[in-house]
Amino acid sequence: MTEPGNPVVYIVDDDAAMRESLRFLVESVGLTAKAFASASDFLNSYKNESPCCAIIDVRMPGISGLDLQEQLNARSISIPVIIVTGHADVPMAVRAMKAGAFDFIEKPFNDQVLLERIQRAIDDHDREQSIQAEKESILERIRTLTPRETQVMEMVVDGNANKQIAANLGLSEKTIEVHRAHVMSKLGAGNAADLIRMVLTATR
Amino acid sequence: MQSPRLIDQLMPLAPPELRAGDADGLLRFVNELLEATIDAVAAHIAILDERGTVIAVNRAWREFAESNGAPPGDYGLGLNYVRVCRAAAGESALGAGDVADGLEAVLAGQREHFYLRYPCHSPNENRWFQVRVNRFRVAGLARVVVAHENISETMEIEERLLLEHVNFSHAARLASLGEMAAGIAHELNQPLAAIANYANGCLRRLRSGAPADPNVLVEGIERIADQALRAGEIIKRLRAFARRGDLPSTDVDLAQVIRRAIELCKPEAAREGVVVEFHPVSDIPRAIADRIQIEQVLVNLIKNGIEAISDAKSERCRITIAARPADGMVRVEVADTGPGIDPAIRSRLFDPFATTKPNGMGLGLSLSQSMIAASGGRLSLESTGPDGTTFAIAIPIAPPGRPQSPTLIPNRGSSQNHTSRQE
Repeated sequence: MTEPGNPVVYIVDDDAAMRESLRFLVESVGLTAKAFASASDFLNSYKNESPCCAIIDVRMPGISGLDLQEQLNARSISIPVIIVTGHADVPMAVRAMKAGAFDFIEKPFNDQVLLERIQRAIDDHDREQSIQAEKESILERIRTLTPRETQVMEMVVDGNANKQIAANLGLSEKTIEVHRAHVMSKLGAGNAADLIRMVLTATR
Repeated sequence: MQSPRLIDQLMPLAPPELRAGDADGLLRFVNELLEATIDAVAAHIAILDERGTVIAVNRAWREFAESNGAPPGDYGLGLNYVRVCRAAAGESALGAGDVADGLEAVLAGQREHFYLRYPCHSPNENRWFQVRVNRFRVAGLARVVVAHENISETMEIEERLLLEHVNFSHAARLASLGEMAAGIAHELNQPLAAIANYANGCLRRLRSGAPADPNVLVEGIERIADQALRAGEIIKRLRAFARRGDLPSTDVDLAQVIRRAIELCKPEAAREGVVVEFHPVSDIPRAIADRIQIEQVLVNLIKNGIEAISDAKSERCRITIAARPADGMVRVEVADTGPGIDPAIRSRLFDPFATTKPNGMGLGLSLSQSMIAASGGRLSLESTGPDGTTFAIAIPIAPPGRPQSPTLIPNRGSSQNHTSRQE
């Protein structure tokens, strides 16, 4: 799943020279690059490897760069996309960003600038994926709670003291304390603040 | 098909006493009818005998001869018209020799008709004529009717149609040049970006401190070479395009081409307050070139001049075009009063993509030079400085002895005087 492996840079460009030269450049800084001649080739072989980013040419026959961004959105693939445009075209850049592109860059580009943006995109994806992973693991732990424990957890997160929770649920304060201890240990929370942070992360 | 005899149709017009049997009177009547008929015709008609001697002419012929300076009463009657045409051909009348050949063929009975269009320009106007030569037999003797007709109006319409067509395709080509410039810019971006990527990839591998795999570096450098060639191919296509669809080189009247180029730049010149002047010397030889290419180059030079002047906000806003023969070529100079060309770019002026204009492609002068070179000419920077810049185009001169056009209506003794020359 999401163990932080070697970052992968996907390159999608119908121009073979652009594609291969980008791969050559990206590999020169030790990143792994995978190049595709079309959006559909990329979609067919994309696996949720992480962390990664995609450099996509905006102007391609068939599925364009922007279309591809939209298809990624539709499939809930949250890989950061750097759209490459042929010329300084503000409306195009606006469209790309609105479609959810992470960044865009104009051809011909300074290699330093491109590599920095690739690194930023990868870092962003890395961070995003860690958050996702944490969220997944918290949700998994929450699913181990009993209905009563879940009830107690929600009330704690809402800011209620044990006494209030006991009154609300018609239970003794002692019983609530037991439930609460179970919640803390099942979720691995050290204190109330920890618990609140975890639940907020999972439900964000 | 047997048509009714003309004389039978005309007879009812004759007075009854002639019809009764006055043979002489009837002959006079027929003669009058004939004269009235051929005099009513606008074409200049001469009737020649079997040897080509002018035996009769109509009123239009007489009037034309007079309007060309023939003394009254002298319309070439009794002259041999074949020889008249040959003489005119000797002094390089366009078409005169062809008329002589055609006449001879018709007189010899080798052909029944002959037809030719020819220019016959006067100092004031461009005139075109057509000549029809028809053979007929009367009482076993061959005769020939020669009819010259002024077809200037028809030709003018035809020429206008042709010009409109040429202008249209010209405009289409200018437009597509602009579109193509944008396309080329995009297309060139690909190999250039690829070259940059490979070069930077090689550099990063070499600078990383880690031992670089020579095979990988070789691959990168090979790709750089490939992509540089690819960029070169794109440029080659651009040049080929600039030459595509050319009319074959013909002899062109440069004064006319220059005036048209000025005409095309007029709106821009007027907007920028620039005066474009043309000072032709009296006799610019005709040049061998592609009219449209020369025009494109001139338009490009004039527009560059206008831009230079308006960018610099020069006080004197003038572009002067001069044309004169020099060293076996026609030399056209385009001089502006702009601030001169930046020394930094002077040595690369004709290189593709060398430009000082914020939105320029830097292709204008480069393409212009290729176009002029393709027709055997030269485009060069003549001078540049704070007082202005002059470009010179040298174009090969057309071989001499062609397009002068005398009238083909002779008058005794001095037929050559009627040679009218094109301005």
